Amino acid sequence: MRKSAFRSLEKQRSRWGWIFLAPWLLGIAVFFLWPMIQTGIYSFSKLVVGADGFEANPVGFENYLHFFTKDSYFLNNLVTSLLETIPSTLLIITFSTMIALVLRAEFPMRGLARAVFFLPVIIASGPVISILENQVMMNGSVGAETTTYLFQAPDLTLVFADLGVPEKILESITSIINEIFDLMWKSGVQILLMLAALNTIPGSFYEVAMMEGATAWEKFWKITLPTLSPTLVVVIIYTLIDGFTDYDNLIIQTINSYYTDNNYAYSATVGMIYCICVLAVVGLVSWIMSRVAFYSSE
Amino acid sequence: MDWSRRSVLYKRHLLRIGGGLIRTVFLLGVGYVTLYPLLFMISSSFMSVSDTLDATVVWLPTGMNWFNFQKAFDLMNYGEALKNTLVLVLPCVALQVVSCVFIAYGFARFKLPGLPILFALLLFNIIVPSDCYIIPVYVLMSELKLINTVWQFYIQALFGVGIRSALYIFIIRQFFRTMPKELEEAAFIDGCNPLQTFLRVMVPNIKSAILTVSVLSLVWYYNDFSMFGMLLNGNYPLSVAITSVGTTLDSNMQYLTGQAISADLKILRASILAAACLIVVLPITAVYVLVQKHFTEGIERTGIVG
Repeated sequence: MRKSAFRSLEKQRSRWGWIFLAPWLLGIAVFFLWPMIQTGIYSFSKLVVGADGFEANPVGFENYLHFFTKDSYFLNNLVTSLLETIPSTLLIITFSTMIALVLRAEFPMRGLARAVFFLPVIIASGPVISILENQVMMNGSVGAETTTYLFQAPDLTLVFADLGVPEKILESITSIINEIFDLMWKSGVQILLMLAALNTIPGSFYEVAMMEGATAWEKFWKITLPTLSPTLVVVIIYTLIDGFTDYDNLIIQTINSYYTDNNYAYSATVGMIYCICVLAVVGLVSWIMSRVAFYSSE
Repeated sequence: MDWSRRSVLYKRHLLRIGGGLIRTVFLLGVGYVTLYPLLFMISSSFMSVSDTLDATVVWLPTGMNWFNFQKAFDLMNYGEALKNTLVLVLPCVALQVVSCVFIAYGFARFKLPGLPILFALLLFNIIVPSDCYIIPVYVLMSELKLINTVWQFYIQALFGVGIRSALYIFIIRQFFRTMPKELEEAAFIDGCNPLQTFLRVMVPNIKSAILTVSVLSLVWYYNDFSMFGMLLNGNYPLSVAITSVGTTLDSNMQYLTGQAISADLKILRASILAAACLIVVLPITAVYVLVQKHFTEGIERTGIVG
């Protein structure tokens, strides 16, 4: 008797669960799963614009064959974009960790400093920054300058050139500096996530470490980093996804350019291949990271 | 006090000053890097062509020059575009936040058969770039006769598939999971059904998380231009309007001069674009300045992390 009452309670509860999930189930089916299936179908067909919308004529693996055997431009871009994301992810992680560590401490004007560092979050996700980067800062100040970097360090370069530093080394240094600028603008959300995680580390950990006479260096490697590692997993994956879906990403640009060329089927093929690559990379990274990361509850 | 202890204290004092100094230099450097494009944008939007060419004028223009802003206003049809933005973005944000909180509770607190699969689907939705499936969405919206209307975005926001909805559901779910189970048990004993528990106990307790998600949602809707540009045909919001300012300027200038654009016009073009960028980011930055204190505090307390 009691058991059956309990079971009906469970049943009632799970009914409520479905009520909470209902809008999402409908939405995800209609606006995500169905379009994904359509994209899959498109990628195996040739699209003809008929009287009522598209007509898809199946062509088997033709689009995929074309991609892997003839479209070397795209294949190269895919490899470059995958390879470029890795070093920039590493740099973003290092950066956001450093800045979060600095911003965590109490110091005068901390509120202002935080407000400044989160500004990129507000602006960097829009078209404005890329317009500034590619159209304003290039032409505006120095007419002859043609690099697309946001931040130029000409004075610095001159100083080092006077000191007799070889040009090759100088070039690589300035390109790193210029990269840093872009990366700084991409790490707003990551700084937020790291700060949130830093605040969850119990102060007692550090008190114990201080009693034992640990240096700041040891505290970082033995306490901060291990406790941060689950967040690092989240941040790394977020950064990867952000890099892969960025509007400046070559592949996304190419996919979008096929829309305007009315070659939808091929765009769908490229999209499918790209999705699979991204899933593979993200899956691999999260698998590796979950081995390395330290979960205190286990 | 003996000498060794004194020297230790002295050393600690020095370290503190040194650390403060390093921190200040580091923050100033990184802060400069962060603010550089914004300062550049503000300064060049006020510059006239002669100011830009004048080597003695570096950051501060010689006078307030509103010409660039006038041009940018006209080119973007700013008033209209701002109205379109508000009409699109505000309802979307409201619907998205409400639906995400509602759905996230379903993910966080109910043991349902097949929930792990649904959760995997949610993660999948976060990962896949929307550019990969936007064409079928376009076709679907045309068939539903919703294309070019604002309703298509409202509907997507309402059903938990708006811009980055999956990410917000994930964030809020993490937050619900950190709340003690006893709260809900107490509410149950007092005779609340799950909906009442959700509304009266759970939601009031995650206000800061809701604020954080609202700001993120506002920012991403305000800044989105690929989806709005794809599914709308006219009545563009600011984020889409600004992407065409450069090309419009180019064609206008070519039409006026009938030849390749001169260096002076190039400078003018850049200044007008800077002004356009400034008036586009101004509204969202104002909102951010108003809520930023609660926002940063909120996100720290959420422990968004796993």
